[in-house]
Amino acid sequence: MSCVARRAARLLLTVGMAASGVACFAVESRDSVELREVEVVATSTRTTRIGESGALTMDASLLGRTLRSLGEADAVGYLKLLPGVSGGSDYGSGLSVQGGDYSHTLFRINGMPLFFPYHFGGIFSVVSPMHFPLVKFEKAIHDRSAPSRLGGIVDMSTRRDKLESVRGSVNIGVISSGVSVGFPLSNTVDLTVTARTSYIDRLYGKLLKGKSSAIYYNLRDVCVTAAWTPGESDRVTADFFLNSDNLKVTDDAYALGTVMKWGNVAGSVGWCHRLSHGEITNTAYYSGFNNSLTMEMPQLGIRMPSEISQLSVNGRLDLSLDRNWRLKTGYALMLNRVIPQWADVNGYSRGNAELVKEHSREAALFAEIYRRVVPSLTLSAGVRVTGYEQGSYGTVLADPSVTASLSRPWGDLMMQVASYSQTLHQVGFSEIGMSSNFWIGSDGSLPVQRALSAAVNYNRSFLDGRYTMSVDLYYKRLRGCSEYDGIILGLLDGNYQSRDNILSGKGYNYGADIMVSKNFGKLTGSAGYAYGIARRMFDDKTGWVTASSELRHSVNLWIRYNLSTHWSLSSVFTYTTGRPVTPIKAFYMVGENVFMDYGRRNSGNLPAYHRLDLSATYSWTTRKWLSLRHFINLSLLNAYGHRNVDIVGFNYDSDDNLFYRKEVTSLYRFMPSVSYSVEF
Amino acid sequence: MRYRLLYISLISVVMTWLVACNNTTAPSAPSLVIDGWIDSDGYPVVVLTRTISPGDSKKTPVADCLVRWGKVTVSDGEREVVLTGSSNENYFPPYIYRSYEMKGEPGRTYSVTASYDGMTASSSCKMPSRPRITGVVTRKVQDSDSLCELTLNFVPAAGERFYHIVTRPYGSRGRMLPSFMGAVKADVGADTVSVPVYAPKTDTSPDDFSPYFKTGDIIEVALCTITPEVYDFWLGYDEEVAFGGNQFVTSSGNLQSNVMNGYGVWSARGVALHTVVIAP
Repeated sequence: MSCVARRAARLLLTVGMAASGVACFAVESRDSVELREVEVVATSTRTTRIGESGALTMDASLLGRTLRSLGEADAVGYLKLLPGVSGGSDYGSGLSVQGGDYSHTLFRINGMPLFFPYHFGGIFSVVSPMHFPLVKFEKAIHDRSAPSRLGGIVDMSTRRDKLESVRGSVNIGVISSGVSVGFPLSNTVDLTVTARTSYIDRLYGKLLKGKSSAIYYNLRDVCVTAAWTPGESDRVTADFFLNSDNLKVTDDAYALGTVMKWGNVAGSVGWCHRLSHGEITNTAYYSGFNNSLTMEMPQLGIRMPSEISQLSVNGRLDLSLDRNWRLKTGYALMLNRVIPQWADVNGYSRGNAELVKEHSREAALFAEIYRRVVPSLTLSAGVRVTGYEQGSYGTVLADPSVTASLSRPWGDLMMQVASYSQTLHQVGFSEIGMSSNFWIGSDGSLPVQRALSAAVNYNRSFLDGRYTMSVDLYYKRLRGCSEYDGIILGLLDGNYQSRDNILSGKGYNYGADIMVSKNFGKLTGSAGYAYGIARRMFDDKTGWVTASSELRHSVNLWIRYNLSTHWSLSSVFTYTTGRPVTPIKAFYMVGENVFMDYGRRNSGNLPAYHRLDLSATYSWTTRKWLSLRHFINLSLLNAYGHRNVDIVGFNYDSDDNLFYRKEVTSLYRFMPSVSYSVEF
Repeated sequence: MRYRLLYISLISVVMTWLVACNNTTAPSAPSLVIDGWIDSDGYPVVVLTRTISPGDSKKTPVADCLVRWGKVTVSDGEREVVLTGSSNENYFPPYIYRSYEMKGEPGRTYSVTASYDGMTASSSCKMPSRPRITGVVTRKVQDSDSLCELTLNFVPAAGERFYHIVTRPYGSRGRMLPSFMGAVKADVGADTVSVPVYAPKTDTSPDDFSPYFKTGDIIEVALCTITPEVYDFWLGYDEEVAFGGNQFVTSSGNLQSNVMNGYGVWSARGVALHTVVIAP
């Protein structure tokens, strides 16, 4: 901790903890000397905090010193430990928040969205915590500046402090390595560059090979951020992000090769200006995502490319009008270009479907006014009005909200009733959120997704912040939610149109999340439990069915124990109800192949998912010519080797002339890793 | 101690509650499965089986799906014949129902009814006209001295768009098995159509699947004109056979059967047959 003052004086510095868990600093001068400025900088070992707005903030780089997945720190992996947040499957990628679809969750880096922020199998996200360590996560309660999404918002950002010297880290793991370096280019300009690449096939290649199948995979991502701070009130940032993933799966038993390539490319320029009583922010960004799923078999290849790109300019003014009134207002303009999934077929004479480029435009204005009624109660009301147009289809959407925040000694309570809209849909062949699921804009046949949300968030700190508790209750009514109903071979049809295969329906999610954390002492950690229901109805014939994203019960326990100044141990235990699946009523044989007769859609569940991950970190510091902090991390995923089932079916065993139950289990079983990282 | 017992009890109840939410199967009463066909100038054949409900056992003998004492009749609208059941090791499962008293004619509608143990399933299908095969081209597979790939060229039957390819080794007394990706939809008004012919992929084969044919083999290739309902079944069949179990693709669900009160497919087929010697 350091203090900077313009004049020497005797000061009494008092450090306390607010009910929300945020540290408060009070400076008292015994000689009654007036200070122009006091800056207090503190580094806390506490990695997560819950703010008064109910949003959770975490320092992913600090978390990465203890918890690692395959040698990599991963902010999204930490979010999955929160109650009400689910990753769906070990094979899948996606983050479902409180029963929402994966596409309802918005990921942003320094304010620009990423349309698919995952590497394969959800092993870790494409966003390196070395570059974007600050993570702010909102589950259901958002202000009116929140863009066109129905679910949670994950905001990852760089640190805002000015770099005085070279700062960075290097991480060397068994499947990938990365480096992040930030340095001042001048007194006003900083540059941070982060890059990561993998060599997963080299060490884990054997683990990824089955009896007749093999998986080949590599990834890389690059982030560059430049920050210009011309004065105390202004900060201009420019960001560039690129990731590229290549996956190939071969299966001799099927004579089928599957290749999937995907990547994001994004860039933004943002200007933040501090006013005497507020802040004004303007950002322009481009974010693009493309995916190509190719299935190749002899004499026949089907390539299914899809793309989305978004160009946007948006701004926000946050102004305190006086002690009791505050205004947030702004605008957002967006141009979307979408290439929905289409089929490029080789070796088959059924004709190719045509590539279709769709363009949509979106303009939004929003305003929210806050009124502090009494010191402990703030009420706010706002509206976001969005105009949307695609082709001949156009609509105007109004999303009002009413929010109440109460701060009392017994805790902080926040309640919101609000409407949300989402003009983009994401659908496809995968129920577990793979990158092959494509984005598509709303039009006359595919209405805009709407949600009416009621949410309550309650936070309380105990024993001077040593313990915290957070409770969320939510109910969300959905309209216009979408689902893909096509089959792969339908793509061979020359008349294939992706829109013809999308169902539109309605749904609802409700549930409760609770999390208790111990924040101080040698033993820290958290325990969370969530209960959630998510239902959808796409046509009257099937009626209401369980959503794929429903996670009825989930329990997460995270424990960290600091053995000494050098050693720390951590452990994560996850236990969830199995993913909803359509149960098998019977199986039968036709044409010497076994087929399933499925029951009511998603009316069953896979066996319960549970997994224990263990991790140990040894750290030390060296100060020869540069102060370095070293970490060696040993991690063991799925420490007791539980075979978590991902697919169930029945097949025929020709050796024993029997039908047998076939289970495809998770990738992760006794998955060890070691990594070395150094920070400077 | 009292509280500890309370906590343990509470945790046990919660964990039991959580574990109880586990059902990947929802057993149903058995139903009949018809896997049958009648070809132009051919005789009706039905492989009659029944569905198996997944029970507690992870393994089930194949004999459990056999229907040995069922009654199967086929009608062409004027006559009805009863098919005779018999063991036949050339088929799988090794028991079929057939009759030589009725011969398929394009344009006629054929109905099948199967009953057994209180269960009755039926289906009806009109036999389309035959297509005309103009040639089967064999080509050596790149980097292989012993495998060839086939391409079938044909002229569609007038007004017919839906076809199914089945093959078997020449001289085999077994059924002609569905070719891998064998469901074909011709473009409207197409003069000629060219499609690859793959070897059948079956769960009963002990070998890894190869879609190619071995040099020197003699293969019978049948191109069958089928109705749209039968095509829908075989398209779903192909989708499941090709992509079922693939983690990238969610199962397309149940096959669209044309059998009432049962499963499977009943097909009246206008057949063009071609025998080809596999040689580069």
